[in-house]
Amino acid sequence: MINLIIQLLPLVPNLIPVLIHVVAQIKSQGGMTDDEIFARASAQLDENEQKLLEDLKRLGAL
Amino acid sequence: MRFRSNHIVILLLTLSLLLSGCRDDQLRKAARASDDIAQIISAAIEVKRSLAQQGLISKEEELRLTIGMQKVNQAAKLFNEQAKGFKSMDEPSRQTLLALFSNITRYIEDLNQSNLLIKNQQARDRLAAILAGLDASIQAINLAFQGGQQ
Repeated sequence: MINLIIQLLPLVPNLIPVLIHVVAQIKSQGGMTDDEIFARASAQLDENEQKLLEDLKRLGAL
Repeated sequence: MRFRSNHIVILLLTLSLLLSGCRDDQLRKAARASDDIAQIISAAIEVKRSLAQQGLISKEEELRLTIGMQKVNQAAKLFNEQAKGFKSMDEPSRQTLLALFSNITRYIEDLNQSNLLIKNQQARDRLAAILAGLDASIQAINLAFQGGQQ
Protein backbone atom coordinates (compact mmCIF):
# COMPACT_ATOMS: atom_id res chain seq x y z
CA MET A 1 0.00 0.00 0.00
CA ILE A 2 2.76 2.45 0.94
CA ASN A 3 4.53 1.74 -2.35
CA LEU A 4 1.32 2.27 -4.28
CA ILE A 5 0.78 5.66 -2.64
CA ILE A 6 4.36 6.72 -3.31
CA GLN A 7 3.94 5.83 -6.97
CA LEU A 8 0.64 7.66 -7.31
CA LEU A 9 1.40 10.89 -5.43
CA PRO A 10 3.45 12.54 -8.21
CA LEU A 11 0.37 12.38 -10.43
CA VAL A 12 -1.47 14.83 -8.19
CA PRO A 13 1.22 17.27 -6.98
CA ASN A 14 -1.25 20.01 -6.06
CA LEU A 15 -3.02 17.75 -3.62
CA ILE A 16 -0.08 15.97 -2.01
CA PRO A 17 -0.24 17.56 1.48
CA VAL A 18 -4.00 17.17 1.66
CA LEU A 19 -3.86 13.58 0.41
CA ILE A 20 -1.06 12.60 2.77
CA HIS A 21 -3.08 13.86 5.72
CA VAL A 22 -6.25 12.05 4.62
CA VAL A 23 -4.38 8.81 3.96
CA ALA A 24 -2.59 9.00 7.33
CA GLN A 25 -5.86 9.56 9.15
CA ILE A 26 -7.64 6.73 7.36
CA LYS A 27 -4.71 4.35 7.83
CA SER A 28 -4.63 5.05 11.55
CA GLN A 29 -8.15 3.61 11.94
CA GLY A 30 -6.58 0.14 12.06
CA GLY A 31 -5.25 0.69 15.56
CA MET A 32 -8.41 2.24 16.93
CA THR A 33 -11.58 0.83 18.50
CA ASP A 34 -14.96 1.56 16.89
CA ASP A 35 -15.77 4.02 19.68
CA GLU A 36 -12.50 5.86 19.12
CA ILE A 37 -13.16 6.09 15.38
CA PHE A 38 -16.69 7.40 15.96
CA ALA A 39 -15.34 9.92 18.49
CA ARG A 40 -12.69 11.18 16.09
CA ALA A 41 -15.24 11.46 13.30
CA SER A 42 -17.54 13.38 15.61
CA ALA A 43 -14.78 15.82 16.57
CA GLN A 44 -13.76 16.32 12.95
CA LEU A 45 -17.35 16.88 11.81
CA ASP A 46 -17.80 19.48 14.59
CA GLU A 47 -14.60 21.20 13.49
CA ASN A 48 -15.77 21.14 9.86
CA GLU A 49 -19.05 22.72 10.91
CA GLN A 50 -17.24 25.55 12.69
CA LYS A 51 -14.99 26.18 9.70
CA LEU A 52 -17.95 26.25 7.32
CA LEU A 53 -19.80 28.70 9.60
CA GLU A 54 -16.70 30.92 9.65
CA ASP A 55 -16.65 30.81 5.85
CA LEU A 56 -20.34 31.66 5.62
CA LYS A 57 -19.74 34.67 7.88
CA ARG A 58 -16.75 35.78 5.82
CA LEU A 59 -18.86 35.49 2.68
CA GLY A 60 -21.62 37.58 4.23
CA ALA A 61 -24.20 34.80 4.27
CA LEU A 62 -24.78 34.88 8.05
CA MET B 1 -6.26 14.28 -19.03
CA ARG B 2 -4.94 15.52 -15.69
CA PHE B 3 -8.54 15.63 -14.45
CA ARG B 4 -9.00 11.94 -15.31
CA SER B 5 -5.69 10.99 -13.66
CA ASN B 6 -6.69 12.76 -10.46
CA HIS B 7 -10.01 10.95 -10.39
CA ILE B 8 -8.43 7.55 -10.93
CA VAL B 9 -5.73 8.11 -8.32
CA ILE B 10 -8.15 9.26 -5.62
CA LEU B 11 -10.58 6.46 -6.44
CA LEU B 12 -7.86 3.80 -6.24
CA LEU B 13 -6.45 5.14 -2.99
CA THR B 14 -9.79 5.38 -1.28
CA LEU B 15 -11.13 2.05 -2.43
CA SER B 16 -7.89 0.30 -1.52
CA LEU B 17 -7.97 1.75 1.97
CA LEU B 18 -11.64 1.03 2.52
CA LEU B 19 -11.58 -2.52 1.26
CA SER B 20 -8.33 -3.52 2.95
CA GLY B 21 -9.98 -4.44 6.26
CA CYS B 22 -11.78 -7.67 5.38
CA ARG B 23 -12.36 -8.58 9.08
CA ASP B 24 -14.46 -5.50 9.68
CA ASP B 25 -18.05 -6.01 10.67
CA GLN B 26 -20.71 -3.59 9.47
CA LEU B 27 -20.59 -1.41 12.57
CA ARG B 28 -16.88 -0.94 12.13
CA LYS B 29 -17.46 -0.12 8.49
CA ALA B 30 -19.97 2.50 9.59
CA ALA B 31 -17.39 3.99 11.95
CA ARG B 32 -14.77 4.04 9.25
CA ALA B 33 -17.19 5.56 6.77
CA SER B 34 -18.02 8.37 9.18
CA ASP B 35 -14.36 9.07 9.77
CA ASP B 36 -13.43 8.88 6.07
CA ILE B 37 -16.15 11.32 5.15
CA ALA B 38 -15.23 13.68 8.00
CA GLN B 39 -11.57 13.71 6.92
CA ILE B 40 -12.37 14.19 3.24
CA ILE B 41 -14.79 17.06 3.95
CA SER B 42 -12.06 18.67 6.03
CA ALA B 43 -9.66 18.36 3.09
CA ALA B 44 -12.31 19.75 0.73
CA ILE B 45 -12.77 22.82 2.96
CA GLU B 46 -9.01 23.46 2.87
CA VAL B 47 -8.90 23.13 -0.92
CA LYS B 48 -11.91 25.44 -1.28
CA ARG B 49 -10.30 28.08 0.98
CA SER B 50 -7.04 27.82 -0.92
CA LEU B 51 -8.78 28.28 -4.27
CA ALA B 52 -10.65 31.32 -2.93
CA GLN B 53 -7.42 32.86 -1.60
CA GLN B 54 -5.79 32.37 -4.99
CA GLY B 55 -8.74 34.01 -6.69
CA LEU B 56 -9.52 30.89 -8.69
CA ILE B 57 -13.15 30.82 -7.57
CA SER B 58 -15.53 33.75 -7.19
CA LYS B 59 -17.30 34.71 -3.98
CA GLU B 60 -20.56 33.34 -5.38
CA GLU B 61 -18.92 30.05 -6.34
CA GLU B 62 -17.32 29.71 -2.91
CA LEU B 63 -20.64 30.43 -1.22
CA ARG B 64 -22.39 27.75 -3.28
CA LEU B 65 -19.67 25.22 -2.43
CA THR B 66 -19.72 26.16 1.26
CA ILE B 67 -23.46 25.61 1.50
CA GLY B 68 -23.09 22.28 -0.33
CA MET B 69 -20.32 21.14 2.00
CA GLN B 70 -22.36 22.20 5.00
CA LYS B 71 -25.24 19.97 3.88
CA VAL B 72 -22.93 16.98 3.41
CA ASN B 73 -21.32 17.63 6.79
CA GLN B 74 -24.68 17.87 8.55
CA ALA B 75 -25.88 14.64 6.96
CA ALA B 76 -22.63 12.95 7.97
CA LYS B 77 -23.08 14.20 11.54
CA LEU B 78 -26.55 12.65 11.70
CA PHE B 79 -25.17 9.37 10.38
CA ASN B 80 -22.31 9.40 12.88
CA GLU B 81 -24.52 10.25 15.85
CA GLN B 82 -26.96 7.48 15.00
CA ALA B 83 -24.34 4.85 14.18
CA LYS B 84 -22.26 5.35 17.30
CA GLY B 85 -25.33 4.64 19.43
CA PHE B 86 -25.68 1.13 18.01
CA LYS B 87 -24.00 -1.71 19.87
CA SER B 88 -24.62 -4.21 17.10
CA MET B 89 -25.86 -4.10 13.54
CA ASP B 90 -29.24 -5.79 13.26
CA GLU B 91 -31.50 -5.36 10.24
CA PRO B 92 -33.43 -2.28 11.49
CA SER B 93 -30.14 -0.58 12.41
CA ARG B 94 -28.72 -1.38 9.02
CA GLN B 95 -31.78 0.04 7.25
CA THR B 96 -31.61 3.20 9.37
CA LEU B 97 -27.97 3.74 8.48
CA LEU B 98 -28.61 3.03 4.81
CA ALA B 99 -31.33 5.70 4.78
CA LEU B 100 -29.03 8.21 6.45
CA PHE B 101 -26.28 7.26 4.05
CA SER B 102 -28.54 7.92 1.09
CA ASN B 103 -28.96 11.50 2.35
CA ILE B 104 -25.20 11.92 2.37
CA THR B 105 -25.06 10.54 -1.18
CA ARG B 106 -27.74 12.96 -2.36
CA TYR B 107 -25.92 15.98 -0.92
CA ILE B 108 -22.63 14.83 -2.43
CA GLU B 109 -24.33 14.65 -5.82
CA ASP B 110 -25.56 18.23 -5.29
CA LEU B 111 -22.03 19.28 -4.37
CA ASN B 112 -20.70 17.67 -7.54
CA GLN B 113 -23.26 19.66 -9.52
CA SER B 114 -22.12 22.88 -7.83
CA ASN B 115 -18.55 22.04 -8.72
CA LEU B 116 -19.46 21.57 -12.38
CA LEU B 117 -20.67 25.18 -12.44
CA ILE B 118 -17.26 26.57 -11.46
CA LYS B 119 -15.80 28.52 -14.36
CA ASN B 120 -12.08 28.05 -13.70
CA GLN B 121 -10.93 24.67 -15.03
CA GLN B 122 -8.00 24.33 -12.59
CA ALA B 123 -10.25 24.99 -9.61
CA ARG B 124 -12.88 22.62 -10.91
CA ASP B 125 -10.33 19.82 -11.39
CA ARG B 126 -8.82 20.18 -7.91
CA LEU B 127 -12.19 20.10 -6.23
CA ALA B 128 -13.34 17.24 -8.45
CA ALA B 129 -10.39 15.15 -7.29
CA ILE B 130 -11.36 15.61 -3.64
CA LEU B 131 -15.04 15.01 -4.35
CA ALA B 132 -14.11 11.79 -6.15
CA GLY B 133 -12.71 10.56 -2.84
CA LEU B 134 -16.03 11.31 -1.21
CA ASP B 135 -17.87 9.48 -4.01
CA ALA B 136 -15.61 6.47 -3.63
CA SER B 137 -16.19 6.32 0.14
CA ILE B 138 -19.92 6.36 -0.35
CA GLN B 139 -19.89 3.71 -3.05
CA ALA B 140 -17.65 1.35 -1.09
CA ILE B 141 -19.69 1.66 2.08
CA ASN B 142 -23.00 1.26 0.27
CA LEU B 143 -21.68 -1.95 -1.26
CA ALA B 144 -20.48 -3.17 2.12
CA PHE B 145 -23.83 -2.51 3.79
CA GLN B 146 -25.92 -3.96 1.02
CA GLY B 147 -23.74 -7.01 0.50
CA GLY B 148 -23.06 -7.84 4.11
CA GLN B 149 -26.20 -9.36 5.56
CA GLN B 150 -25.74 -10.64 9.12
